[in-house]
Amino acid sequence: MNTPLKEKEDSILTAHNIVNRFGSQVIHDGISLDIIRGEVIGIAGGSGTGKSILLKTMIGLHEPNGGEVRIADKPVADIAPSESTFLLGVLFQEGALFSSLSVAQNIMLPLREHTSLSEDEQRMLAQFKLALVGMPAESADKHPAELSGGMMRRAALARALAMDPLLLFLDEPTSGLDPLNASGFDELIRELNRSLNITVVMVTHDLDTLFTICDRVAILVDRHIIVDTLPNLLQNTHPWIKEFLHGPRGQGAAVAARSMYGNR
Amino acid sequence: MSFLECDAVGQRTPQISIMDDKLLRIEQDEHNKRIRVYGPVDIQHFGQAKKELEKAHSVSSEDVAIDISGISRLDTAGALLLQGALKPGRALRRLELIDARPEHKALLDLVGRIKITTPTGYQKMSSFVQVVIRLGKATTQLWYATIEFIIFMGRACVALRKIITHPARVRIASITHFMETIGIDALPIIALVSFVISIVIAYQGQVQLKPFGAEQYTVNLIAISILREMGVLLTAIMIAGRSGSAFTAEIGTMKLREEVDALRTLGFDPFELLVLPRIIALLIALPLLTFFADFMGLLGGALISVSLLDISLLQYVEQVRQAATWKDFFVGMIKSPVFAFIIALVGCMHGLKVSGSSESVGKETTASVVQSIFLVLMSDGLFSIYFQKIGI
Repeated sequence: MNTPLKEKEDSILTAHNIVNRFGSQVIHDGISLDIIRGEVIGIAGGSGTGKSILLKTMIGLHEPNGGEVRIADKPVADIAPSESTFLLGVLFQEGALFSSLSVAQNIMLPLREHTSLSEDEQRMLAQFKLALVGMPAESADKHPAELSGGMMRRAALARALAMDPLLLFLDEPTSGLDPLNASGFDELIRELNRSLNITVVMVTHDLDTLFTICDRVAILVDRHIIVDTLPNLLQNTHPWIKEFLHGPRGQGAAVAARSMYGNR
Repeated sequence: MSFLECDAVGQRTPQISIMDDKLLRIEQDEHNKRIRVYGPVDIQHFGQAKKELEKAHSVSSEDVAIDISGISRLDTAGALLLQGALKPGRALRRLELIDARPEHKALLDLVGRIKITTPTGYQKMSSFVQVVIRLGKATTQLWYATIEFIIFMGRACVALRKIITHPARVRIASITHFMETIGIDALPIIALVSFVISIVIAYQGQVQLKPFGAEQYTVNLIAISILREMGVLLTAIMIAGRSGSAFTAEIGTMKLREEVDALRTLGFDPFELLVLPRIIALLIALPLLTFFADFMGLLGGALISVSLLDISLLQYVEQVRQAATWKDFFVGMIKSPVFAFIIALVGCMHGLKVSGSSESVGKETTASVVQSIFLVLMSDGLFSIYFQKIGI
């Protein structure tokens, strides 16, 4: 995580001057964020700072009151849904698997709609994606309600990866998972980021996740955003950031990350 | 012969975004020993890539080497295609992927490492077997549902008896609340349905009886059919659709959100708190609604009689009194608490059966309405036979 990011690397998503407000309450006051191809970036912040709204703005599900988001140099508002599915995959907080379909059918749904793969090829690809996220082959024909929390999250990740998108958005991927499951999930995301060359944007307040797998961290404070690598953020003097990263939980996560990854 | 010599056009394309729609292109050397692939081999261009590869394979010799350095974008679907896992037509013979870029090599390695297995149960069954399986499942389910209903009815009876001996435990506030939503809020729709149906009966009856010169018996037809059957039956069916479904959805949603479990941990009996008030409220509200429906039905009959049969309102009332007795009225009214009990029981039972996903709320609600209407109609038939036997 200490690898310095090369300057002037091509950014895959740029958010420029995003303003979001609800009534008179301003959530984001001119937020700009560049997401660099191939990185894992974590978005953190206290409750009510608009992490999820920022994520929804970036994927075009929420129209900001001001500013613009561009993905691969195209305004996100102009990207048709059939096009965006090749660009971005989203893992929603509760998984959002369609409960009336089996796991395999969930993964095959976008393939059936947007590609020319035959039924058998779709099935093969779905099984491959399940194996990729570490699920047993038998779980393919189960329904979402029959899965445990961790498995449900993995199945939802497999669906998010169905179209091999360039960008993967994760909304609190490890919340509600037990620590073992959570660190397994972190590992999986890092592994996918490397092997599939996929860019990962995640909203999380799991400090372990931020310390172990994020190349950069964006912290939402005072309606603005501070983006940097974690070592630099640890030097930051903003009271909330200090409290967040140097509090007892932050200390623990830092120690754990060091013991796991050394001076990576 | 060097492959590189015949490859003047193969300058490396930088990896570009997916927006770049460079077409996929395949070149072969003159001995059909090597294939060179350019452009995107990904899920978006899957069909095209598959076709081109198949074409190239069909003319190439046994050992094929595929040069993939010209590929601009490769994803898992493309990698699986190149590896031959998603068999393009027939299985590839010996295959060698050369000159892969590091990131593509990593992906190909990953794809090669993961073994794809399809669960054995995936094989499709013949439709006949499926029908037999569904029939068997439905039969056992029907049996279990019957037993469940009887058990639930027993619990309800025990709880009701407890309430009678300990009247202080009756939850008046929640009963009055349900009486408002079940009873008062349903008045307009009950009025409309009852009024319109009685007009329809009166009108059709008048048309049929006219050739016999027995038009005035239309009044008898209306009075008897509304009081004995239509009033109570229409009300029960409307309430089963309106309130029985609401019971299932309300209790089912509480069950899903673990509110029912929370009640239990806080020392409440969910049965006493959720089910009993609904049963009691419906037991009171449905007879009242039935009375109202009877009244509206007779009013609709009056409208038709006065306008089509040329009799005055007073004559109409007099004829209704002659045609129908108190017995007819009570035959209708006595059924309504029984129907109320059935509707409330079925609605609450299905609500408590909800489990798993929100889909199950919809399923149970449908089952609740269908079952309660079925049971209402069936018990109405039993009542008819019984009243016939005892001569009422």
